[in-house]
Amino acid sequence: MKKKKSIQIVDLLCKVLSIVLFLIIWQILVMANVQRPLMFGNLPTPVRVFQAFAELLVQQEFYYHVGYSCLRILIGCGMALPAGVFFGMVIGMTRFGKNFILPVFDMLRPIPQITWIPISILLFTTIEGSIIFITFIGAFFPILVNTIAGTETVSQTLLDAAYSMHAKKGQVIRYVYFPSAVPNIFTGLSVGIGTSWMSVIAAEMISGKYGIGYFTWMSYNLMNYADTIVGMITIGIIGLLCFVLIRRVESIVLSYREK
Amino acid sequence: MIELQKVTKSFQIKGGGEKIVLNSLDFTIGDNEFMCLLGPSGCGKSTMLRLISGLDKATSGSIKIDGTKVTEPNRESSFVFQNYALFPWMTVIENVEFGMKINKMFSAKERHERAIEHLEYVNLMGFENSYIHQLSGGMKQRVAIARALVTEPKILFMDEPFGALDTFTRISLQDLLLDIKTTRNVTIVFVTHDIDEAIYLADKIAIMNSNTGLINSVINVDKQQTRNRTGSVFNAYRDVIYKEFNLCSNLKKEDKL
Repeated sequence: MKKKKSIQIVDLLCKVLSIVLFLIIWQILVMANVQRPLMFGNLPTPVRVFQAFAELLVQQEFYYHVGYSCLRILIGCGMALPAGVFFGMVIGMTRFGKNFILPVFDMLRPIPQITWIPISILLFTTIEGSIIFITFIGAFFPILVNTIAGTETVSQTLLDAAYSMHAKKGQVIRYVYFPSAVPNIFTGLSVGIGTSWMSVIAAEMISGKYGIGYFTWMSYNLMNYADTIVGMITIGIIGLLCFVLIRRVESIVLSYREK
Repeated sequence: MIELQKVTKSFQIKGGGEKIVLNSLDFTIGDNEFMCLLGPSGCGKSTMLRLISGLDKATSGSIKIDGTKVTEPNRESSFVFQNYALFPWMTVIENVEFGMKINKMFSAKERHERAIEHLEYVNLMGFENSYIHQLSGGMKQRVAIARALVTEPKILFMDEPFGALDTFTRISLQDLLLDIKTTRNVTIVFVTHDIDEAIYLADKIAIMNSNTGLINSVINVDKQQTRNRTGSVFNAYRDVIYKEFNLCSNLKKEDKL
């Protein structure tokens, strides 16, 4: 049912008002230097944060930080996608995969990505390598788990149809198993890119020289708290953009599905 | 010619034991015959079709097509499934071209032409670029039939292909199938539990009862006489088949064949 135009406008006003109120309360809490129950007085005001944001947007260095983080995510997820799909399909299709490969992944999967940071620093000669490894770990497991699910739930009738047309095993994998798993692979990728973001920020905070996570942590250390909050907002925005981008690609690739 | 010799198929049952679905079955289907396997659910008719088509393997016994043992699906046969089994991620024409493509039959251009030709035949022109979910059940099965015919098979296996369709759609597809039978050299092995459908379509009806794992009898159908679905001859065939299945005990004996 389509809502009336006037109701739509009221709804929109409410949404805008809610955010404006949030910012106003924040501003008042800081200006009044509230210390209990939380020490709001320590925070920068939203006005100060917007000023800092505007200043940073014209600085080249800020874009370096953003670019570094994005590039790390891109490389990490770019490697996690084929790896997760490959192992996911092998595990989903074969008893060998299920009994020989899956146990190792099942053992490693519950370990939070952040706890991999010390190990990855030991494993890689460069900091860059270890940070990318963390983003890889973050994206790999969600993609793996979803690909396994997608491969295992392939329709037996579609397999029969392909075999009845004299398809070879390789063709069945390419034309039936893989397309069947694609919707799940996208689900895995959007979950994975989220985990990958969390991991990269944590890794950068600990050991980076560039990156938006490093920027956020450094500005805290330099007591430039407005920049810290700008960092947080930027991380949120980029995470959202990644998510939207994947959704767009997904809706194009999976356009065959019922709306 | 399709020959089954002492074909047995049994399945392991959960918790031990096994269920014998086909029990040392001997059977022959001649070239260009329209053979219906008719019986209630669970009588083994679909199992028998899957064995002949090579989708499943028999527990023991031998199945030969033109003297060659069946070990896997044959290049010269096609299968039509009850729930269409079309690939949802492909368009209609990609579905029809698929069998030719994976078997590297013809050039890309020729594949396209053949697919169009067969879509025309099943009355689906204008839908070649549609996706499967946009079609009705009857249209889906027409696509599946076009896909099955386009590789010019010698044998067409059909597993309750019209079971999920409404009566009117089913009748029009049955007529399409009779047209296929008269215009092409093709053997059709057709599984159904619909007695009327079997009489209307088949040259021969193999009667399979539950739990015997065997074919009880084969009824020859006079195709000239069964075009009229409400005629007396049609009803006489029904009478015979109802009796074969012990579905009636008090029908009159007026309609003799």
